[in-house]
Amino acid sequence: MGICVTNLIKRYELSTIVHGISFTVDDGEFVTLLGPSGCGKTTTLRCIAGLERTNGGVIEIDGQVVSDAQRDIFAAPHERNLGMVFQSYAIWPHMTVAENVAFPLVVRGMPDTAEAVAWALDVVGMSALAKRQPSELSGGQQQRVALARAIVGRPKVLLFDEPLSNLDARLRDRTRAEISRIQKELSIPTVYVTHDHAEALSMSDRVIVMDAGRIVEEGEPRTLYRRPTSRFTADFIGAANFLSLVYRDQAWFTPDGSTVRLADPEPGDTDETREVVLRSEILGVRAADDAKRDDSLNALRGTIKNLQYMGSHIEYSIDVSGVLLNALSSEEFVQGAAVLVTFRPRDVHLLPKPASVV
Amino acid sequence: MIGVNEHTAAASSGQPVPIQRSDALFDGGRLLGALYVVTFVIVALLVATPLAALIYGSLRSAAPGLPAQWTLANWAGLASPGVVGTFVTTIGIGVAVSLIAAIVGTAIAIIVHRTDFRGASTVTALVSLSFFLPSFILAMAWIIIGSPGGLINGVLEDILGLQGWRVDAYTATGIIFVMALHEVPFVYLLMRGPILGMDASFEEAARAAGASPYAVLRKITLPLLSFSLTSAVVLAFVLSIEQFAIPALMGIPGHVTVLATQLYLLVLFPPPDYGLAAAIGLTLSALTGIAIWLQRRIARNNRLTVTTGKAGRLTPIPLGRWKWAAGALCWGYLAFALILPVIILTYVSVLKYFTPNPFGGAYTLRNYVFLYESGSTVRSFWNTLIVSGLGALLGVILASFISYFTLRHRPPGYRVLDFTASLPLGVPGVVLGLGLLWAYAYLPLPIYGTLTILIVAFITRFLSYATETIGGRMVQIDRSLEEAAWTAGATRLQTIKRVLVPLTMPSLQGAYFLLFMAFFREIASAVLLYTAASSVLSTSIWSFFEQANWGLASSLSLMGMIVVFVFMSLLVVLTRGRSGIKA
Repeated sequence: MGICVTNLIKRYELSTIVHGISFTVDDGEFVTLLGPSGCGKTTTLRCIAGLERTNGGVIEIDGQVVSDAQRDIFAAPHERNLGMVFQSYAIWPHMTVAENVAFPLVVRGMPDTAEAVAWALDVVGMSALAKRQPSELSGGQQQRVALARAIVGRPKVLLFDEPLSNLDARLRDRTRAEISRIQKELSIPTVYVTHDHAEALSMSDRVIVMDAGRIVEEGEPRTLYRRPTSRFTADFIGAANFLSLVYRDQAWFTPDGSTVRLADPEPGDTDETREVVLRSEILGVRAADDAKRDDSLNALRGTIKNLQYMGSHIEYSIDVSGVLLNALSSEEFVQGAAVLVTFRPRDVHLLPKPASVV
Repeated sequence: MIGVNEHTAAASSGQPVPIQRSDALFDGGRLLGALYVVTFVIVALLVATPLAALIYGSLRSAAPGLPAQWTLANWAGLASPGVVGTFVTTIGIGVAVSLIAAIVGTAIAIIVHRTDFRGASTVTALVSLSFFLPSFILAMAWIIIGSPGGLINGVLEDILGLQGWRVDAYTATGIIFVMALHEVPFVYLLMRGPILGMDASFEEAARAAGASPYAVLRKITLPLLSFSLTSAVVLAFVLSIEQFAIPALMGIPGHVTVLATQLYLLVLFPPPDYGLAAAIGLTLSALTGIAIWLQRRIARNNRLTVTTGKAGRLTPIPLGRWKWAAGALCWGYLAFALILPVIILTYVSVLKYFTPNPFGGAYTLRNYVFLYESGSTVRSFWNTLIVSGLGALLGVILASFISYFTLRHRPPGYRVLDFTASLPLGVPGVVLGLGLLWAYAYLPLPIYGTLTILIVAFITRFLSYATETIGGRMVQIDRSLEEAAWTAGATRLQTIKRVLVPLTMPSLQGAYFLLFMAFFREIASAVLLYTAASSVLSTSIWSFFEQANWGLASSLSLMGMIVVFVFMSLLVVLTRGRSGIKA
């Protein structure tokens, strides 16, 4: 039955942190709350966990109402049967690894914890370190202990609060894959909070993008990346270039008059301005005087303003009639060179008309 | 919890099933909520009773318990020349002592922790030891040394034959000297933290820019410490104006009166004026209260403390020629504050008749024999163990609850609890004693003259020591360690038992130790409340000294200090056995 959040409102003193958001997490689904610092994603997670009281709205877990401010219903965290992994791991320093993992079972009065603990440690690959003290563990190992502790009690939901932000980049990639794998195996509805779009894209069944206490957009990773419906989403998930186009004579033009062909050209009103999203990786860079021409591609003239050598590629900032576009290429161009920025029509995504905000 | 039938019935009907509601006060369950209410009430009673009694007493025209009318005469009496003069003396002594103690204490802290001074660890240990020397024992020793009939005069006149050179400890100068000695360790302990915690890079940048070590000290180190230093001066001032034992022993014979001793005189010497004493007591509390508020503001606005935890990198300042001066300061201080008093007390305790000439004196162990055989002394010892041992335990338990409720749980009203628990800090010991005297004249509880009232007085007075110690540790425990326990299925009580208590245990032990030592050497709040039956070690020593029996007073002091030393060492050994826990 998963999680059902309806019209969640959370205030702190005089300001509203969460402005009445609603979403569901189905059984076995991995949903990520993605957004910048201060967008309310952690607050939402803590409301689901019962670590914060709500000011409005209803939260249900597995069919039971755990939080309803209006009807004065509130279940304390220990009544909600959760598994939660904290950003700081929160491994208790005065207990061994095994004792940490056994804790959720011990406090519920289960007499025989050895088997469950062994299973949980095995799932995360920490069986050999069961008797260690937390001070002897690395960050990654502590994180896995935290994960084992979260799953040992077969919780109804799994909650993650930016668990990877304290790990170095390489460890982060490895742990990402592990968390994903474990969640799929156990098939527990999961809410994952992060500001890192790479985590969101790679791990989630669905991503909910939040900003300033509201849901901006939600959808599957591929959809959100390729066809975002808001500029905010496009900008937040991956590096994006934005270009303003004007609709005239049944075609879209850049401000300086170059045509841009779209795969599914949407007709617009005359002189209407819309923005398109161009991901850096779909932009090609060619010398302006290159004799080869591919008419299937859009081409815009520009000048190299800046370049950064990134090893696997060079990142170019190209001035295209006043707008800076970032493109990646392995070819070498010098600063100030005149180039053509090329892209396929089907890689252009037209952002919908911005809806008037209520 | 919801019953199985309700649950399954509702679940099968497809409706969301509500779980039991919790009230914010009883968020952690009924037991925890009840504990909070009980703690709140106890603290309120402990603090409010003496204060309310003092206010009441200051408006009455007769002693507590006697028929009286309402009057403002006591408050008017504050403007009398006698009281005004006392007020001026108090402030004057306070300012002098706090400045001297601040300079010496800070100098020692800098010498020991920032220079290449040899013997630093010994000095540190001994300065910390002298922190525990009770003020009245220090005063006694210096009276023996410096009073008109004391050792120095004896040496000067009888041995050296110098007439016309006299010292008199019974003066304001004497009081300032001994009080400063007493407060230096306090300033030292206050300044040690900021000095050790300073970021080395500030000084290193100055050195790299070309400043000599002394220029660095003058232009960088000391200015960076200015807030901490000012804060220490204010706290030392508070300590000085509320001091009782030293001005009582050294000031009364020489007719030097401070507010604390004036209060004492008004109660214990005829004609007694309990009402005026109450008014003076409240005024003194207001003074200390304002000073503490001032100190808190200074400490809070301290924008200069930068603790990076990289303390070990501080490069020591080389002393060069100054090492003799530094040594003179440190060892000189220790000589005056610790070594000389102990030697003198030992000397006097084995003398048959007082003489300044150690070679001409007759020695005996009869003082110790007397104490050993004296039933009242033995009773004193037992009383002290009960009051200090049991009292400290009760104090730690109460302080733990207070710290938990004000720092972690925070139920409605926790701010009031926090404020109330910190109030007694501004009430001098002798004032608290007077307040309790007034209060228990009217309360039906038969605890006057018993150990209970002493325990009540001591716990009220020193509660903040324990709450600061325990609270200081509790705030360091990351909230997520508790939240992880809750989300893992533990109730608040289970979390306290399994997570908070093990992690704060070192501070609980530290607080117990602190309270034990504080109770052990407390005289000010006990001096108005004790009787022969409820005498403790400090009051026994006090009364021996009042009877001018220096021999018995010294021997009992030494015996007491030995007992405490043994106890301290035991405690240190025991607690070192436990595993150190870092979170």
